[in-house]
Formats: sequence, structure tokens, C-alpha cells
Amino acid sequence: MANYLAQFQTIKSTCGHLVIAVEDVSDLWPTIKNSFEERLPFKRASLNNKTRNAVFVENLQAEFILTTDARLRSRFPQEQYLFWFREPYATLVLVTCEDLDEYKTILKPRLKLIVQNDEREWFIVFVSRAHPSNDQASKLAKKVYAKLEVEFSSKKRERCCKFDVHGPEANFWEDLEARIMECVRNTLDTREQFYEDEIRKLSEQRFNPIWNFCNFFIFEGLESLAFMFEMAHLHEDALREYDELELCYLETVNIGGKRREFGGLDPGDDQAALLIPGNKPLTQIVQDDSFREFEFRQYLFACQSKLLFKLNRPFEVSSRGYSFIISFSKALGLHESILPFCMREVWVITACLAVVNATNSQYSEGNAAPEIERQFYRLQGDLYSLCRVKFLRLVYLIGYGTEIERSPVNSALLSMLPWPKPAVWPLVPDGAASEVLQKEKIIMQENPRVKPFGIERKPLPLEPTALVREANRRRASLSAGSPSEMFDSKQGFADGSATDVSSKTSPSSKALANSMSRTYSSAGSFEGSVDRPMKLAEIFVASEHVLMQTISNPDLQKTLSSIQEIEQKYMDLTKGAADNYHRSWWKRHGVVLDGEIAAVCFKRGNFDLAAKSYEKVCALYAGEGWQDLLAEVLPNLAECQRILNDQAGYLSSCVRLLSLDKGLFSTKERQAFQSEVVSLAHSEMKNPVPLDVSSLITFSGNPGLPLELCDGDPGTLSVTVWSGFPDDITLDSLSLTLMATFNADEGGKLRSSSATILKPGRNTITFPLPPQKPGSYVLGVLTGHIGHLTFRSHSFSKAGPADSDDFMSYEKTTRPILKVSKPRPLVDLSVAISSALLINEAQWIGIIAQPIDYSLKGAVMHIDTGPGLKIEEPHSIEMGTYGSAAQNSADTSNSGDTGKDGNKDFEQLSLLDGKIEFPDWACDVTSILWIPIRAIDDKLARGSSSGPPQKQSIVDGMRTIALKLEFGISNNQIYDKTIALHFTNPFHASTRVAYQCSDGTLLLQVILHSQVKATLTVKDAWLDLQDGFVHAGQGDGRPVSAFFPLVISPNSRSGLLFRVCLGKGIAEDENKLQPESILNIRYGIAGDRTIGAHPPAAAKSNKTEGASQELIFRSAIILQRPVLDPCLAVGFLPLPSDGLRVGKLVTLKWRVERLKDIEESNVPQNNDEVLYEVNANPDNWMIAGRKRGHVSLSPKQGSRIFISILCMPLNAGYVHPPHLGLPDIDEANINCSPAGPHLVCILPPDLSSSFCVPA
Amino acid sequence: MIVCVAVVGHQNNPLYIQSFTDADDALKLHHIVHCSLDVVDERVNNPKKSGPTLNETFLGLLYPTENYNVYGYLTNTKVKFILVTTDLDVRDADVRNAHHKQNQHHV
Repeated sequence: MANYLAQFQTIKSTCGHLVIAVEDVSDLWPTIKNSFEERLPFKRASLNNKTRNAVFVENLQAEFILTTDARLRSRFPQEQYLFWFREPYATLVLVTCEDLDEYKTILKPRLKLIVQNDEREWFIVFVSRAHPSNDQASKLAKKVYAKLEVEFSSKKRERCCKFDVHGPEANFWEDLEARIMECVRNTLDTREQFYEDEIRKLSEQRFNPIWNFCNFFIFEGLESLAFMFEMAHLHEDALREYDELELCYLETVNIGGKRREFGGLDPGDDQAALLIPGNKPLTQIVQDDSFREFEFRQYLFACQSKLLFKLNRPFEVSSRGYSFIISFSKALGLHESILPFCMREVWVITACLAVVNATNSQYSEGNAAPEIERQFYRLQGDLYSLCRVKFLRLVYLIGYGTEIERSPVNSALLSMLPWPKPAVWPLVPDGAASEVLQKEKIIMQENPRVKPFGIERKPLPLEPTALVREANRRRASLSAGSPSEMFDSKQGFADGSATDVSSKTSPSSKALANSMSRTYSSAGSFEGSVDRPMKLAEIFVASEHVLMQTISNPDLQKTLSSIQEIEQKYMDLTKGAADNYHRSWWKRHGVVLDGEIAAVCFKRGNFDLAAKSYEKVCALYAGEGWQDLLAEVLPNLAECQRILNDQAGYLSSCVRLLSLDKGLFSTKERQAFQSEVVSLAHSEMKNPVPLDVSSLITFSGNPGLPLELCDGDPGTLSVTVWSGFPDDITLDSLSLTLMATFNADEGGKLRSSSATILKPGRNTITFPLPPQKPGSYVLGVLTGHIGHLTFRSHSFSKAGPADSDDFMSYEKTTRPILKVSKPRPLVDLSVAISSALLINEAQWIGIIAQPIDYSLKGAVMHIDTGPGLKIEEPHSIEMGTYGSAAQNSADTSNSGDTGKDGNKDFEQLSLLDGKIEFPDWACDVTSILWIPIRAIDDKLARGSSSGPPQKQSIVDGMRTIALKLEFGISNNQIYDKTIALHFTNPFHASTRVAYQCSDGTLLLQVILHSQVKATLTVKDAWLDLQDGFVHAGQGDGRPVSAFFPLVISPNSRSGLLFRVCLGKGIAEDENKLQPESILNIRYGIAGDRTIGAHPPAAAKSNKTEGASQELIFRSAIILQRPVLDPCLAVGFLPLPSDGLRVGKLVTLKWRVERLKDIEESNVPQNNDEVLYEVNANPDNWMIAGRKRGHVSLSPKQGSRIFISILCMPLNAGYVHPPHLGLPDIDEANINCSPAGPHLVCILPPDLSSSFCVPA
Repeated sequence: MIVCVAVVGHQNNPLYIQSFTDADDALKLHHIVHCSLDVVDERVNNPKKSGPTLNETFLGLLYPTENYNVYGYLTNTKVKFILVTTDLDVRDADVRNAHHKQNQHHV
């Protein structure tokens, strides 16, 4: 069988293409060989795959071989059968004949003989040597070919084609290729069928004891079939066959029962050959009826990967490769005891690198779908990562464990990876004492890596169990010794937190180990090494020696030879893994490995790169809240930043460290972080950068309703600030911004006036709040200074339970902390009185101050009186609640002050510099202020003569008082109001002559109109007459009958009657003559100050007089002579009886008569002439004659004159007649008849007969 | 043996991690759980690949390595349960049951 295997291997390696046999019947091949071989390889071929579906294959390799060739001739039938796949796939029979007889007698029988073998797929190529110019020969050749076709071709299948040596026909080559392909296809199908039948038969017998995998493999053909497919470029089918073969093989391996040799003991086996199909000849790996697992599985994977690469599927090689390595590593683990020391690790390292390198070289980016591409990179990352782990394990075993970063990722990978399990742990070789000493020295010198900030942590384990114990346990003659024997002082840290797993080992394996180790240990000559447990240094040295023997790859050997090389390889692997992970979905894996790269950079002093990588790792952990992991990395980042003198970054890292969960660092460590922050803050910083302490100092408004302020009011805002610092920290300044919810740009800034000391945990800080614009405000940013350092915090803490120390909340609250209401009336000032007050008298005006949901505490009112108004200084101002003031009004009007009785709601206030301060009790209630004022008017009141009283101009009595109320929390609110007050005299006097007695006495009636809403009592009245009038009789100027006191109700009238007559008074002094009469009235007033006029304020001081206080009112009255005495009468004389008609002239007449003599002093100079004037509407009247002129009229009483004027009415209807006026004489002196304007009727014009035409 | 049980929030933040190892090495298990979220993310983001298991809460074996296995379970609220075992041959059904029970307790 070995021969066949070797032959099979040879054939496989030499024969990679299809064979087409050439049966050269007429010795033509040498002449046409070249032109035929030029057609190879076939550009495009159509073959059937295993499922009989047509598949197009490109560049199909083939070779033409003569049947007489030794390669085809020398095979035994047995061999042919065995390696059928290499037999010709088509037989090309090459003939020529130029004679029909020759054809019939010689060629035809010979051809019949050749083609009678049905197993061969054949076809005939007839070669015509006839020259085209030779018609005879050509015809003959055609005839022969026709015979040939008739004889050998059928309707179903064309088996002939004709080749002209002197220039083949255009479609010959196509025909030829079609014939060849048809043959190849048929042969392939037949052989496939055959192999399949055989495989089925053998598969059915698989559980038969005599079943043989090798037969199955070669003789009956799985591999043969696969190889045949491969030759035919049907790679998919070939791959499927190999997959099936692998399954079959694994089944036979797993059936067990038989103990088979595993393999892997040959030199160089440590190097994975999973991509090299021809690594070992199959003959070497055959064992009994099967193959050794170690080699054969790698062989199968190599064949598969070769096909996958041919199919351009490097992704699948990676994917299958990773699974294969993992499963193969398990298989290696099962046989670890028989394999060389650390063979498993070395194999995995080389396998991973081989797959990574091969796939990377075959993979071209962008060809695959993005998802596949990401998967591919992930797998590459996995392969690198796996390689890295195994590499680290070897590094640890040879004593460089202290160089490995004890990070979570390394710990996770290594501490759960079991130690190698050799049958016996290697012994220290001879002459290695110096190396042991060196290793011991290294171990002694190695100090545990000091963490920044003096952070003390137990290092994470890299070991699954204590190596010393594990190694010694696997030594032959020793059972596990007492711990004191084995653990030296340094080993404690080196082995970390290893635990004893000795109990897990089965007793049988122990026994095996014991028995084997004896033989091994006897060879060891290191002094005392057999008798006492090995020390750690000895274990390292022993491992290194044996490992170097295991490793056959010089590169790997070199890599493990020095710490620099190790570090370089470690970096390469880590970077490879990280880069690939970054290009896949597995970002976390990538970033974590970046952290490992950072550790190496840090060690090498490349702090800049280290910081960048650490930042990425920290961002990853912080972003997802993995604080435990962050606490491991962040100190390293801080240390880098410190070394790089990146103050901003360092401070930020310190703050982040402080922000982490308190349980992650001890108080001492946290204090160290704080002291770093504080000391840096107080040092001179080159580039002060605002420090974000959002995670450390958080703040929130007080729970409950927001502070509500009115527009323009300042206030104080209390804010809860949580400090995450472990100790008290002094903030040199602290300010807080407020953000308006209506507009992000709006907002205010609050400053705390002095330095603030923040205790750890909750602090309450009060900020003075200047007036803000109306709207809602939320807390914005907290900023401040620690030394020279500016910090800011954006973070809001939950307004949760009052005592919660949960300061690590990043939720931004939108709860308003402050509401400033829109401008609205906060207070209203109005006048309590509704009607006019007395002018020139001290009067109270009531000002009602009504707070509108706003406190008037500390309010100050400025009172500014306008012109003509003054405050009665001696009087104090009264203030009372509005309701009670109304109640007390009667009292105050009569009996004055009730404020002295201690009523809280009533108080007397004094005016200081025009200001009044409101008492406290008045802050929330509507109050009324009574202010004594006096309106001054120098003018004397003037009476009017006869008729209804003329309305006084309201402006005369109008006065204004300007009030300014300053109120609010800091008197910031101002309310201005100007109040108009109406003052008036108590009376308006009007006069008329009630009667003119015959004796010349005039009865003068004076009518008093009350102007106020108060009851007036006239107590006395007298008239000081002007010059030209005297009191009639012996009167003293008092009225005719004295019915005093005369009570006048509000707004009513009463009259007084005086007797006067014309005449000259006895004037002592000409100059004292008064031009007008004065009416004097002594009166009293009873009124309510809440309504209007009331007794003057001065009365209040004199209680005894009370309402009986008498006031004097004076009014000027003008008396004029003569009084109602017309001197002329104008009468309109009756019109003609026939009426007035349009267009008809009419004479209008007036009679003017002098009624009495005109005294010289009262008439114009030309008293005998009267000026007249006729006025008429020119639309209605046409006047002929003088319209204006003088007529002579005797001044004597009774003289009369007629004035006539010719007019013509112009319009029909009722119209005003022309009017005669006397412009020189006052209308009062003319008595007209008729008295008022009147209308006359104008008839239409007469009909004019001149227009009528007789019939 | 189950060495670690973790509950991870919908924003991939750890809610609860309990390790069951004697040694003081919980941090490495934090790392394993954290990195396994890569696989959860990948499965959630690539529903095509996860195929029929998409609608299932049990994500199965996330993270096979030579030495330990990581199993995942995704609740409707995107809370993840992660289980790290050192037994390499564990029946899926057992892990699934364990996760279901864990979910019930969680709810």
C-alpha cells in the first residue's frame, strides 16, 4: 500500500492536468503537433459538476500525449484502475487517406479495431494533405472523409472532423474543442459515477472491521475524485470532496477503540504545516490502515485552503483556519504528555501566523461585502490574539513573566489558560547553574511596578496556578512538598494569586507522571535537583532549554532569546490584533489592546503615544461606565500626562479619578488626587485651561417650587452643590450662570461674593440674584476658581432625596429654578375722592395705595405737588387701611384723628423731604393716605349775570399732584402716577334784576349755585356795591330778609335778594372806588373727605369749633347801567295783500321809532342820524336801491321814520324776508317786531300768455 | 463552573457583576464581560448573520475560547445577561434555562 501511496503522491504532484491521448494512425502527429498544442490551455470549457449541472471552466490545462508514449503504455491494468483520474479523458484518432480503396481495405478495419473499446471516449480527426489547388486530390479527400463520417458519426454524436494541413477551415478549431470537451465531459461523468458508486459501497462497509481508511482514501477514491475535480478546475466540487473526506476521517478517529499513534514527534513538527499540502509524503504518515492524525488533519486543511485560495476565498481560509487551530490545539492538548514540551503553544503560534500571512497576502481589500470584510478582520484579530496569548505563555515560562503587564486583558487570557502538561516537567540541564543564578538575580531585582499616586493594588494573576507547585508536581520523584519549601520570598508576587489545583489531576495521570519522570530524572545531573523541589529560577531555565529544543523555527527561537526581541514580537502581535479588531465590529477588543500597546510605549518612554492610546481606552470605559476597568487605566494616563507636563490633561485625569466610585480607591489615594489638583491649581500654570469638573462637582436647585420673582426684583438663590472631593476644598470664587428657557442666549451670572469652602458631599450655597428679565430660568454652568485654576461644571445632580450623596448623575434637569414674571402692575395708586374740593382751603386728598399681590414693605412715596398746589406742612399725613379708613371717614371728618388710639392699621406719618415711608403693616393691605393740601388761586371768583350759570372752565380748578412710589425688595420698583385734582369755589353766584320798582329801586337777585358735594350753610351774606350803585334804604348790604342760616344741599341753588338803586355812594377816597361789586358770604361746610369738599384740614386741630367753623366766600359781581331799556323800535310793515310772486317787484317797508330820549352820555355823537343796512339772501331776493345808508331821525322820543326798499323775490316758497339792521346801535337797545326771524310765502310767477298760441 | 454573572444595561453600562473566583481577580472578568459586548453588538447590528436566532433572547455562545466560554442573553429592554463559564462542554439548554431564570429574577 505504501507503494501505491507514494505513487499516488507522485502522480498528484506531477499530473495537474487532463490528458488527451493521440492515436496517430497515419504518422501525422509530428507535422500538426504544434498547431494543436497552441490551442492549449482551453480558454473556456463547459463541464458538468457533481450534481450534473453545467459549469464553465476557464483556462483548462490539458496535454496531448501519443498512445505510444511510455507514460501511457507502461501502465498495468491494475494501476490504471487505481489512478484512473490520470488516464486520458479523450482519445483523438488521427488519420489520413487519399484513396477510397485504401480506406476500405486498410483504414476502416483498423479504425474499427481502435474504437471498439467502449471505455474510451474517442473521435477522429481526418487530416487532408491535398493542396487546395489540386482539385482532384481535394475531391478524393472529401470523398474519403464523407465515407468516414458515414461510418463513424451518428445523428446523436458527431465523431469526426476534418483538418486541412494547408489552411484549416475557419470553424475547425471550434469543432475540435467541442469534440474534445464532449469527450472530457463524458469521461468525467463516467468516472465520477464510478467513484461515487465505489464510495457508497465502502461507506456502507465503514463499520466492518476490515474496513480500511486508506482504501477509502485512495483506492476507492474520495481523494481521487477530489483530485479529478481539481484537475478539471471544478474546485467547488473538489472542496466538497475534501470536506467529506475530513468528516469521514474525524469519524474514524473518534470511533476510537484502537489506540493510534498521534504523530507530531518528528523534527519540525512544531511548525504548523496547515497550509502546506506536500509537507510530508503521505507514505510517512500512514499508520496501519489509516493516517496519523497530526499530519493528516493538517494535510486535509492544506488541501482545502489551497482550493479556497484558488476560489479566491481567503476569508474562508481565515474562518476555517481559526476553528481548525482551536480544535487542533485541543487535540494537541489531549496528547500533550507525549508531545515535546510546549509543542502545543509553539504549533498554535506558527499556525496562527501562517494563516494570517497567507490570507493577508491573498486578500485584497474592497472585493468582499463590507460585512464579510469586517468578519475577515475580526478573524485576523482573533488569530493574532490567540498567537499573542500563546506567545505570552512561553515568555512567562522562560522567566520574563515580570515583563508582562498584569492588565485585565492579559490576566483574563493567561490566568485561565492551563500550564503546559508535559508528562514530566523538564529538569535543569547540566552546566546551567550560572543561568539559574542570573534568573534568580532578575527575580530578586524585580520590584513590583509602582503605580502612580501610590495606588496599592494586588496584581492581577497571570498564572492559572502557582508555577512552582505545578512544575514540581509534575516532577517524578517528588510529591507536592510543603509550601515553605517551594515558595521563596519573591515568588509570592511573581505567581500572584495562584491557587492550588492539584486536586484536579487524576491519580492515574499522576502515576504516569511519576513513572516517566524517574527515567527522565535519572539522566539529570544537576546537583540535588532530584531530591529537592525546583526553584522558580530553575524552572525558568529548564523550560527555556527544553523549549528551544522544541522550537525548530530559528526566527521564533531568536524571538525568544532576548527581552528586546520578545518585546518587539509582543508589540507586533498586539498591534496586529488591535489594528484588525479596529477594522472589524469588535472595537472594544481593539481599544483594550491599544491599552496594552500604551503600556509598552510607556515602558519605552514614548509617553506621547502611550497617553494617546490610554486616552482611547479611558474614553471607552468611561463612555460605558465601566468604572472598575477605568480605575485601572486612568492612573496610567494621568502619569503619562504628568510626565508630559500636560497640566490640563493631568488635572482632568485627577478630577476623573476623584469622580470615580468611592469604593475604587482608598481615602488616602483620593486625598492624593485632591492634593495634586490643589497644588497644581496654586502653582503657576503656563496655559491655564478651564477644567471641567462636571463629574466631581455637581449642583442642583433646591427641590420644590422655583423661586418666583417679579420683573426687576433682585433676590437670593440657594443652590445645592455636591462636592466629590474627599476633603474640604476652598474655592476662591464661585459663580453660576442661569439660562433662560425662552432663549438660550439670555441668562444671568450669579457670583458668590467670598471664597467658599466645599465640604465633601452636600453644600448649600446662596447666591445674590440681581434683577433678571422676565421668564423661566434653569441652572446653567457652575464656574469658579481654585487658585489660578478655572473650573466649570455642567452637571446637574438629581434633586433626589435631600441627603442623597448621589452626585454622579449626568442627567440634565430642565426644571426651572427661577421664574421672573412678566411686567405687571404691582401696585395701584388712585384718588379716594370723587368730586371737587374747596379751593384756597386746606383739604385732605385721599390716595389709595393698593398692592397687587406684591409686598410694599419699605415702600417710599414721593409727593410732588404741581403749580398752584401745596402741602399743608404743619399737618401730619394720615394713613390707614382702606376698609377701616372708609369706616373711620365720618370720624376723621368730624372729630379728626383716631390714629392716636393705638390702632395698628392707622398711623400718622410725617413728610420728610417730600417723602413718606410706608409702615410695615401697610405692606400687604390696601391702604389710604390722607394728605392735607391747599390749592391756591389768587383770582376772585366771578359771578355772572342772569340766565343759567355758565360752566366754569374745568381747567381753572385743575391741579396735579405727582406721586412716585418706590417699593420692592430693594426699592427697585417704581410706580409713577400723576393725579389730577379738581378744586372749586363753594358757590357760583349769578345775578339778575328781579324787578325794577318805579322808584328806581332794583331788586337784585343773587342766585347761589352750590359747586360741591357737601352741605353748605350760609350764615351771612352782604354785598359791597360798586361805584354807581348804593344800597336802597338804610341797608347795610345784607339781603332783604335774613333767613340765616341758609342750608344749601349739594348741587342745589338758593337765592338772595338785595335792594339796590342807582346812585353815587359817599366815597371818601376816589381811589378806593371799586369797579365791581363784591358778594361776601360767610358759610360753613359739612362734607365727607372721601366724597369731596369737606371742612378745611385746619378745623381738625380745633375740635371745639368742629363743623361750625366759618368760612368766607367772596365773589365779584358786575352791575351795569342801564339795565334792559331799548331806545329804538323797528317794525316790519305788512306786505301787500295780493301776496308776493316771483319776479314781481315789491316794496318792503320798516318803521323805525325812537322810544325815548337819548342821553348824551349813552348815544353816539350823530344822534340825529341812524345808520341802516338791509341784509337779504341774494339767492332769494334781488334788491333794488340802497342797501345801506343814513337816515335822519330826531333824537326826541316818539320821532319815527319809514325805510322802504324795492325788492324782487327770485324763488318761490317760504323764505326769510330781507332784514333791516341798525349797525351802530346795540341790539339790546332795539325792540324788534316781529321779535324773531320769520318767513314769507313767495308764490310762483304768473303764467305768461304770450307763449300761448291760439288754436 | 460559572465564574461570573453580569447584568449589563441597555447602554452597555454594567449594572451588576458578580464573580465567583477565590482570587482577587474580578477585574479580568469585568474585562471579559465588557469585551463580550462586542459580540452582542455585532449580533444585534447584523441580524442577517444571526439569522433565526434574531428573535430569540438567548444569544448562545458568544465568545468561545480555549479556556472559557461566554454566553449572552438579551432581554426585550436591551438589558444583557452575560455568563462566563470555565466548563467548555455545557449544554445550550442548561445555559438557556439559567438565563431564563435570571431574567425572571431580574424582572
